[in-house]
Amino acid sequence: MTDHVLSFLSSYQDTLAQALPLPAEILKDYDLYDCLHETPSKSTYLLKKKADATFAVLKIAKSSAREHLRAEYDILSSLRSTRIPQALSYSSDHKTDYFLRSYVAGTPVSDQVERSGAFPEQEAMRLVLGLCETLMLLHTQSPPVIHRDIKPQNIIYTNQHTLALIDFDAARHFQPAQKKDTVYLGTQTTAAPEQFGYQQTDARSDIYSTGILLLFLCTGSYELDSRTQIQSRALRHIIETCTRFDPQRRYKNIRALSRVLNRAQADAVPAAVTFWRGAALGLAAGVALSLALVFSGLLPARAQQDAAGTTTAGDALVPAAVVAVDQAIVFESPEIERAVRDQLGIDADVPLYQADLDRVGKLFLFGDLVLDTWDDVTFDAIFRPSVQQGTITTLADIPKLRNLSELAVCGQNITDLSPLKDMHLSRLALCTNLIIDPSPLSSVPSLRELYIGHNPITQIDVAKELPLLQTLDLSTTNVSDLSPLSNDITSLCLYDTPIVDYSPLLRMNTLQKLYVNHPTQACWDTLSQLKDLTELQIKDGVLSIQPLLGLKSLKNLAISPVELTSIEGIETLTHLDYLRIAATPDIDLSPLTKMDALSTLDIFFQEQQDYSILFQIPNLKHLYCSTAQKGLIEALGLPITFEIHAS
Amino acid sequence: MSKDKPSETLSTTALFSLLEKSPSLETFLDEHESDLPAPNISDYLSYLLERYQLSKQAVIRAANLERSNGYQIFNGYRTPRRNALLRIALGMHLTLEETQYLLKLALRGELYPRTRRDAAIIYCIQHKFSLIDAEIMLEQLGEEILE
Repeated sequence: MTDHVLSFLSSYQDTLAQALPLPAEILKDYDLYDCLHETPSKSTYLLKKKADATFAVLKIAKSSAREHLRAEYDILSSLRSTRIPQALSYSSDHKTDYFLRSYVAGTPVSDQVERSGAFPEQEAMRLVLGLCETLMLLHTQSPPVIHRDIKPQNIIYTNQHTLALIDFDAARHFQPAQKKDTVYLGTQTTAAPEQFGYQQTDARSDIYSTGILLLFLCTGSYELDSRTQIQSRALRHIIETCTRFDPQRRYKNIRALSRVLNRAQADAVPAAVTFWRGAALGLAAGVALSLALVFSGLLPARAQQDAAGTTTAGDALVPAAVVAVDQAIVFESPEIERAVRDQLGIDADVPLYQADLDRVGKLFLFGDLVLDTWDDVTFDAIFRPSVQQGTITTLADIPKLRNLSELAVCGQNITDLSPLKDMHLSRLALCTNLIIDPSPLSSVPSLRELYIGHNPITQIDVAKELPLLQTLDLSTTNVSDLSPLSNDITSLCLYDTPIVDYSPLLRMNTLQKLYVNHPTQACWDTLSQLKDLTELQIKDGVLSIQPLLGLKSLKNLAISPVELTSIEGIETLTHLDYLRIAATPDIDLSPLTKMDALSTLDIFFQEQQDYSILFQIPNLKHLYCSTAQKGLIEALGLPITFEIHAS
Repeated sequence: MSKDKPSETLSTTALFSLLEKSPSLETFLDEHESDLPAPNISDYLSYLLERYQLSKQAVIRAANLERSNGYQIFNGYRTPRRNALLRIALGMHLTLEETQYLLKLALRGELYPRTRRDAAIIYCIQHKFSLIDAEIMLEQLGEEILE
């Protein structure tokens, strides 16, 4: 192997020497070590000093790029900080410029995150606070220096666990008189909008990019949408403020950003152990190997530095998530295993390991179908709960999916919920099973949505233990008492329940969505007082809409089926945007023509001889109906200004 | 392959082998331009497996890939990272040209002979090193291994 190493090194030296004839004054002191970056007009090489084997970076520019290189040298030679490179020398011959600067040992933040996953939020804030000190130094120069290309590729995570800013290629002295920059410089995903040329860049452009950097450190993503993954609300707000389109609405300088970051860092509670994405074990193995080689004296100087850096990084960043990942997981329920494999795209003949299961955040089983979205689950749960029947009898496999937050196991033969204890679920659907006792859910306090309809449960006392619960489906259960429900419920499905007393609904100030059928007098009495309700689905035994006419907030109303003989007065529900109606055939639909807000109408179950009245609904956009109805409507020969969805 | 056959009868595998037999890329493109589908890594890997008479399992082992990850790559469920592709290249003893083509298909930068680590990997590929030997060589050079 040593022969190979020597033979490679000699041929590589030849390659570099041929590619890059260096000026004599550089060759005197340095050897070429590596090419870091190369384009036709610019290249960056790593050099090794003959005297002490330390590294330096040589940047070379040809033609028009020479001007930028000179500017970079001018800026760096006027600044002194351990967190930016030091200018060493500048020389030029007739067509090439050479700029030598010090080498900052460490790993680009982009590589660090790719290799080891995002940083814990606390650590990200600490690192960016350090970077703010560097930016403060730049921005307080006279005139101020704007870096304009702050991005993970240009920031080194040093062996001392700080961030160093390199590559001042795009940096400029701010010139107050200038209206806008003449050239675009920077990098698309991390550059502030004004860097695309409509306005001059100033310190607030660097604030924009620093916001994107914070986002990247915490999430590994540049997409602003991914900020929702961030736990700390203060940090989310800081990122939002940094990245506002209008520079005037960002923090006005780095000092202001530093101040809020400091406060957010002090306020943040130590995060619960963040699951360490990526190859914790792989990293540990790499460290072990590097250490072995360091001790055996095999590694050259730079690699020893790097290895030492990696070791501490490993200690600091790898939490207790290192588990026995080498053991294949055995499932009790083949159906659940199949759904998990389906989701992961892993063939049945390949063993599954814990690391695979840790990637599963959602799992939606409905009968023998695997559904894609929670919306599909809730639609089926309410409107066709018995459409599919599966054969799963136990949830024992579910706790293996440690990062699961949304789960549906509907249309099965589940009786026991105790396996779900202590899971961090926010959405759970268990419709159409054989559940009698929902009490084990008391140890799932993270639940926000619970669909437990079509089960033989008789009480929902467990709701008292679920402080975050907002959405609850109790349809076709024997639950008769709503008093355990908190005031924070926003959505409630009570189809086919033997409820006697509806008055608990009156104290639910945020109730928006309600599903009821066979309304009793007590139900009507309560219902007519729910002034803030925005969505109501009411069916069976609805003889009059009069009691509903006080519900002025209603936007979405479905009434079915057939006993209703008049919709007179419906036009007083002025916010109604969606209406599904199934009354007796040929009722008078003319009140609809006075409803300005109505954009969607479903008349699938509403038979009429004459549909011409529909053409007089002022703002109708969508009509849902049967194909037979569609035929009749089109046969009228009137100009159709709405979309017809026939099924 | 006659021109009047419908193009959907030409599988990617068939196209790759026609490409092999063509005297030059230009000739191949002239004759088959209309048959060319968008190139795809898992198709190219299947072609290479067939060509070298290797099983997925054997390559996943030789490339020391995590098994489910390996199968996802071969089945086209995920675009592999550059290091994973290089491990596959070493595990299959691909030629430098095949390796570069694989990297290009995956939009992962091709090996650049002036970059020290890339140059070392090129050396390993040209000398048909195993993955383990390549990693030992990289370690000895103080370069990042292929994890």
